[in-house]
Amino acid sequence: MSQDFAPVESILALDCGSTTTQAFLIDQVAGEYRLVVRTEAPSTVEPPWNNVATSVRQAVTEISEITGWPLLNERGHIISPQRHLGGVDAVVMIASASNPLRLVLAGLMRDISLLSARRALSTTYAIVEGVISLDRQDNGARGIGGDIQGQISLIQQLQPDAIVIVGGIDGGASRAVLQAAEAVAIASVTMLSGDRPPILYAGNAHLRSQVAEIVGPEAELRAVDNVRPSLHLENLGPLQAEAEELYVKRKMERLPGFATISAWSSVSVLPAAKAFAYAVQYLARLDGINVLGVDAGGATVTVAAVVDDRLDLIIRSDLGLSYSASRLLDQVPVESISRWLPLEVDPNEIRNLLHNKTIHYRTVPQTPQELLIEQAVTREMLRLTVSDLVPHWPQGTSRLYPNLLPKFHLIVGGGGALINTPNYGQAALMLLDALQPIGVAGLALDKVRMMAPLSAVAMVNPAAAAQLMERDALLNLGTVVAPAGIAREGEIALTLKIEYEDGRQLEVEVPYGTLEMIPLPAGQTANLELRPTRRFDVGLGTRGQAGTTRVEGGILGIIIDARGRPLPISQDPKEQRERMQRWLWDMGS
Amino acid sequence: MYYPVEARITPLTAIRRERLLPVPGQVVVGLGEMVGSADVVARCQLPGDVQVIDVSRALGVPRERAARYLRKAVGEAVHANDLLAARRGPFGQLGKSCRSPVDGVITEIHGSLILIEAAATTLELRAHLKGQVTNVMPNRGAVVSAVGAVIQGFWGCGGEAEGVLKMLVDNPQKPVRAHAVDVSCHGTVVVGGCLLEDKVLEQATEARVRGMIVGGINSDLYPLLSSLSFPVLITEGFGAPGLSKHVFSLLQTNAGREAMISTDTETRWGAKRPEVLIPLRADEEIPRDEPSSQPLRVGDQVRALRAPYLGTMGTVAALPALPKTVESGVRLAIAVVDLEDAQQVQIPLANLERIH
Repeated sequence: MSQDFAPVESILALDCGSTTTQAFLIDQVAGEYRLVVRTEAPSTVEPPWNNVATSVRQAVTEISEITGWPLLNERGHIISPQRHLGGVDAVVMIASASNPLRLVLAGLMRDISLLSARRALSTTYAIVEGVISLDRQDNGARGIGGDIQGQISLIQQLQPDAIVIVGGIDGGASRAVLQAAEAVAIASVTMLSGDRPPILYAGNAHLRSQVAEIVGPEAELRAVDNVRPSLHLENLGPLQAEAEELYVKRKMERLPGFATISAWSSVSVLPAAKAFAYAVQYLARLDGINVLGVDAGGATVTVAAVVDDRLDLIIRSDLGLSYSASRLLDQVPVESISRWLPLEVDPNEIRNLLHNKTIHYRTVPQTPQELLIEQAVTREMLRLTVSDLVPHWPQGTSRLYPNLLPKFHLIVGGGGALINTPNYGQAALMLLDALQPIGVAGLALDKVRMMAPLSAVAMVNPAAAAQLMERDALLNLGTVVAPAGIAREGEIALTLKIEYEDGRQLEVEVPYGTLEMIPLPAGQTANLELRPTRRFDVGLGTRGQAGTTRVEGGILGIIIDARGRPLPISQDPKEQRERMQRWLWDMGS
Repeated sequence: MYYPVEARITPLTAIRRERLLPVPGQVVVGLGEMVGSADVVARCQLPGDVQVIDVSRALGVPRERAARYLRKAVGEAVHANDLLAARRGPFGQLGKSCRSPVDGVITEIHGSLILIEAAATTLELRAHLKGQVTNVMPNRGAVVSAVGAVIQGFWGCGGEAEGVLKMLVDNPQKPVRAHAVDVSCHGTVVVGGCLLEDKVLEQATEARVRGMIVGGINSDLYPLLSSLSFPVLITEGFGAPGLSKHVFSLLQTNAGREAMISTDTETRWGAKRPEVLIPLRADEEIPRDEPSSQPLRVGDQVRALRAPYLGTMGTVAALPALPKTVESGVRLAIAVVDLEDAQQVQIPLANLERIH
């Protein structure tokens, strides 16, 4: 039996971000799916517009002006399916323009389930604004100890979108979990009935009925499986799914204008971070490799990683270079930002910039100094986000050193600060400084910000998504070789022999502390013979072990990052500035 | 096409401001009534804080047995120090007890926990604009309309204030100096180019100024602002060297007149900008300016939002179709802008706001 499906050839992909709305027109060109045109408009979720549909229409109208192909009808709605005089076969959409869920997390003192809950919630656009535990502080969020008055005041003051209660292994601790439930229940009672946040319970499963009794009918209780059913078992999935559903229903779908645009979409709208993670997973499965994707966006920093077939996603909704920019100052001292600068900058100038950016969050750096400050901020945000993931990667063949990244074969960077650079050396250096990869890895940029939207495209036409990922989505920067280890400045870290496709050979000795770029154009490959000295490991698990590998070229060719791992940061600001100057110079900047 | 953010900086326009209660209450002005900025337009009762008393902890009894020691029930009014629960000693004497910390009403008894809602407080909502009531929303608030100057700024903190405008500098780029804030500033809204020293804030507190308007402040003063007794409004940005010439001349023209400043700032949903309102008389009807929601056009008046032109105003002279390389080396969509000082410069579109 055959099924008659209309072929989906022309696709309009929409990406409604917090600061920018993008539209991509995809169609067949000479028998292949290609990106025909991409446009963008400042997102219009705030006054005076209060309607995300406005910026979508602006971006789509611009596509029509460029191509001469009408996409909207006279009422401003999409023409679909494609007809003789305009329109597209399908519309898909991803979104990240909504505010994140604001959560209060309640659990036991020093309880590992609080950590598990944080990990589960970090895969959704959510910020844990307060913690009710017997600990006074919890990772920067406002924490309150056992004082019930304080717990209630915290909830009343924060007015969260939801309260998450965790704690106790199944059949384990009960008293503290019930106490936390009681505090949450009382706080709910003190709020107006329409303002009461839903309560997600993901603690000791044996206490569900007691928790339900304590919460009573006044608040909405959603119970899911325990996030930590036993000391040795973590079960993040059910809480992740519940939190994501809450985000979709209470934030994404309530975005002003969302209903209009989502009605155009042929498939469900994906949260952008999820779409980004799917794209990273696709790249990993395509070649059976480990892939790290980082996106330094305006409102969030997203890291998606596939290591040995396992996908990890982390969304930091409290970091970003737009309206949450100044939040970074709550998490790190200003010196952590200035250490990434090649010039002396008054700390107040950094603070001024971050505070100004928080208000005028669409603005872009115009002067070289402001560009370098934003790049330093980006490094620090990426470093913080990845450091949340590092302790959780399991030991295995890809994890060679406990405090460093596992071995990745491909690293993809995206987000405004990484793609808007005067030269690609600066983008590569931001990735190398912030992530500190080890071994041999390809470096690429999501230059046209199409990676995440392609996950939505794959839902209506997988072949189109695959072809676009290969041809138009990624800009190949080259290959980085980064030996792990430390030595004295100037000591040889690595000798490498390159054999080009045309048979030419080149042998290079790379001293410790340096960055070298060796030309290898995009589309070409070369054989690399790597001979690290006895203090260095090129990703083979043993210091001093030599190996050969075949690498691909790119815009920057082969980058030898012999600065060592962990990256040496001088405590002397002047010396560190000189290092940054040298590293930027080495990268052609 | 680029759709910029917009700000209002205008010497004369029709002003219409909604004054809304946070919870339903009573509107005390009528349609068409003339009001002064300090006049009350509506009032409501704000629920008091909720106090929680843990009876089991106070009496040292198990939670499940706490109920038997209670002396009050849900719905009962209590005064501070009233007995809420008590144990009897072995000979019937009063043992451990717990008392109400506030005047209020018992709203809930949850296990061993007693919730007391403290007595409500009255909120009086003032007009904050000298003008006429042009709409009344029963139980919610009113709309006050006037004619006057409006200056929307960048950021502020400390709430609302009214007072006579007093210039402390004769040049938009001049920082306010502590010695300039003297007794003559009492009850005024003072204006300076920028704020660089904390001594100025100390002097202003001592002189009891009603508010302060500056072009920029340094971020190291930021932590001090939230503890001040008066609001501070920044018109251009942190680190800005001064007021823009246009804003300075508007404020200078209106020196000696009564101004209302509101410093509420929200960057996203329901975005709010801090503003200065100066009610004026007008002989003819002034139309109300609405945000244009139009793309940026040649001839539009704009203000730069970032270095190197932060706070400078000008007019769009050209909008090149293709991106240009700016000083940072990045290629960006730009506008060519004729600045107030006759300089012609390129500014990224994202760094401009339209002034209307």
